[in-house]
Amino acid sequence: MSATPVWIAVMLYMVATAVYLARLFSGRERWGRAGCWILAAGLGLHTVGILLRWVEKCRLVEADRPAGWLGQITFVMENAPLANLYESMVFFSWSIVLVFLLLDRKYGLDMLGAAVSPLAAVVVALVSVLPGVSGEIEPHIPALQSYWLTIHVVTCFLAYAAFAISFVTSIIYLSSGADRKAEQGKMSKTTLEEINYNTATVGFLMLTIGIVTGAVWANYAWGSYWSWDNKETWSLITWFIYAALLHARLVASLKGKWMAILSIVGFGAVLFTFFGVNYLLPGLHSYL
Amino acid sequence: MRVLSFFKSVKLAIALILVLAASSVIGTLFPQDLPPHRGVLEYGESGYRVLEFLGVFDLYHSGWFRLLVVLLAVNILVCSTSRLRRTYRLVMWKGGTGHGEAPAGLPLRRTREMDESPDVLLPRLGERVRRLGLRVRFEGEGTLRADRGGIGRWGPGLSHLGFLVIISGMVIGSITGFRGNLDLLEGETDNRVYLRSGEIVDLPFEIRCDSFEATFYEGTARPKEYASRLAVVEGGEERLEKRIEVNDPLKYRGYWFYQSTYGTLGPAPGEGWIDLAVQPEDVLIHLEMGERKPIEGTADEVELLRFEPDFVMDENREVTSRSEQIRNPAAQIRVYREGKPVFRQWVFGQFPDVHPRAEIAHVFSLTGYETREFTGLQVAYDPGVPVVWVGCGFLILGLFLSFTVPHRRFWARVERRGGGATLRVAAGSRGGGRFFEESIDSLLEELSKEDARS
Repeated sequence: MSATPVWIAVMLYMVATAVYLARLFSGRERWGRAGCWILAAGLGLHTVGILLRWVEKCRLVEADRPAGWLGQITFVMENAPLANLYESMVFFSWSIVLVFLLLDRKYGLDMLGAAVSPLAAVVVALVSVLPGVSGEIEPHIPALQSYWLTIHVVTCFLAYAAFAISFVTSIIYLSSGADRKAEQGKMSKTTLEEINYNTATVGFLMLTIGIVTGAVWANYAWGSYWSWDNKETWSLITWFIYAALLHARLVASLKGKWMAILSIVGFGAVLFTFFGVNYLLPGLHSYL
Repeated sequence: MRVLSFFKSVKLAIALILVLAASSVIGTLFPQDLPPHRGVLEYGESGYRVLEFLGVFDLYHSGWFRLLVVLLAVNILVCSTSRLRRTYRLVMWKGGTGHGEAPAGLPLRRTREMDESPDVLLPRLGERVRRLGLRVRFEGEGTLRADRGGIGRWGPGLSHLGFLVIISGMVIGSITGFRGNLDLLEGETDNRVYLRSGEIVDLPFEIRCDSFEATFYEGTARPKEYASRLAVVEGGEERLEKRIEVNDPLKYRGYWFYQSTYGTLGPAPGEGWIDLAVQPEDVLIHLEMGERKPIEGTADEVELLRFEPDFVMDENREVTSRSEQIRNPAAQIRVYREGKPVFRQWVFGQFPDVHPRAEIAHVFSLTGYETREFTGLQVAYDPGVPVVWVGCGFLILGLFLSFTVPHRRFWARVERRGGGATLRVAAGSRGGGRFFEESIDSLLEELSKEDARS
């Protein structure tokens, strides 16, 4: 039941892709605004889908619902639909669209819509392709029964989403010509550089909070705030790469091109942290 | 001084950060804390020795990895302290160029000729700049300066300080703290913690486990909750009682006790019992560990030698337990005929007739055994943890200030020229300067229009 709105949202993201492409080729800003509204509608449905699943998950363990408002909040946060690969991919896609729309309001990113919208659609579509991904609703194992689950996972995925947009910007930056001024229907390299930096700062701040909240949680659950678990280590590697990116802006010879390269490498590290660690390396984060 | 200027480099920082990232990758490619005999099997004798020397099996605690962290820490310390003075001067409007000239570090420069006199122009300009959200101060001699968000300039310093504090906290923890395991049977009291290094630490108080409980979601094998009821006993007195579960540890005097594992112990050397069924005599014998009893109706006796909860035989035919869970329970018994030992045999709980011996004419099966639940606690003592949290707080607050509070500065000087005035403006913003510069330009535009109207 909760999956249907999400799939409709995916279709809307595909429609938005087409509209954003029209904006790119026609050069008319009207198309960009239309794409933005279609994405927003998709995001609304996506949100409904996630909330429906959240309610279903809470119902599943209804018998354990504690009394008192604090207990209620804890209970709801413990049962957030963020506990396995299926749920996190659906949420990753949601984060990409949300962060894109927010940053679009601030920096005017509609030129990137044609690349970001299909990304959001593909992430959800992947759940039906990847091996071992089940959409079944299951109650949480003891290790995940903590309100830190919601705080930790949400901040991490907001970071990943910002990095995804930084990645798309960097690809466009490297593939556009040497001319630093804006050509007809294209963004100038200086603007792309600025967007790359600004999205990276948003992602870096969120990733830092994500790692710290993960450490606080680990200190409650595993008896150590840092155990060099493979997922922890890869999140730190990602953090290092983006730290290098932010500092590269201070060095004239590294500004621009190297920031774009680091953003692409950094997003590779993000993907490895998310998927690679689970498929290729053993570790404590075995549930996700 | 030469060393100092070597470390005062952002390029060095970037290089060190990337080298640290690449080194961290290596640690995820090799198993950490690999037992030597497994390592030799996997990589060969000499291969293992080379890799061991390079520290890849305990990479994050190896000398060279720590050296890299120390180099980065020194780098950060030198860079950050050398920036402090510059930051202070920028925030406090100290220094800069000569009298009546715009201060340094303000990239946007504009000059306008105006018709009105400075006495009208300056307050009007001040009002417009105030509307941009800047704090305006009139300096006299037709000079105005305004700023906002100076605190944002301290963001990078604060976040780098946070990074250094986190590292200090980790160092404190690794010197003064420890992590280990404490397994307790239900009803047992103990204070000995086994560290991974093999060392044993005696806690200054004792922990008692009153009960352990593992529950599962109805109708499934999916675990729902692992919980132990613990009590702290100090000097014979009970100080604290708490039911701990995963994600909810017991804390007492800086020691944290976590629900980590659990298991069921069968009979151990010197304690416990089994029930043994014997065919074709069809008798049931209750045997204590080490006890010898006659098999009714025969001249034979049977003795219980050993019990393993998860029987496994390795390549040298040595018997051990694969785990501490009762998965493949097995008891070793010895049969005596006319007082003399005749043979030994393993009897399995799950496979009743594995090795019936025809010549003895008895078929044994293991029908029961004593079980005792134990809870596996992880014990952590780490005085560095609060330091790490303070560092994390600095780091996050510093990043917030750096990325969300732009330091915007505006300077203007109005000089009388005939009936009108010359307006000189300088402005700059740290982080996202484009929007600020645009708003300054449109401000000047409006000011000129108003000037032309009057």
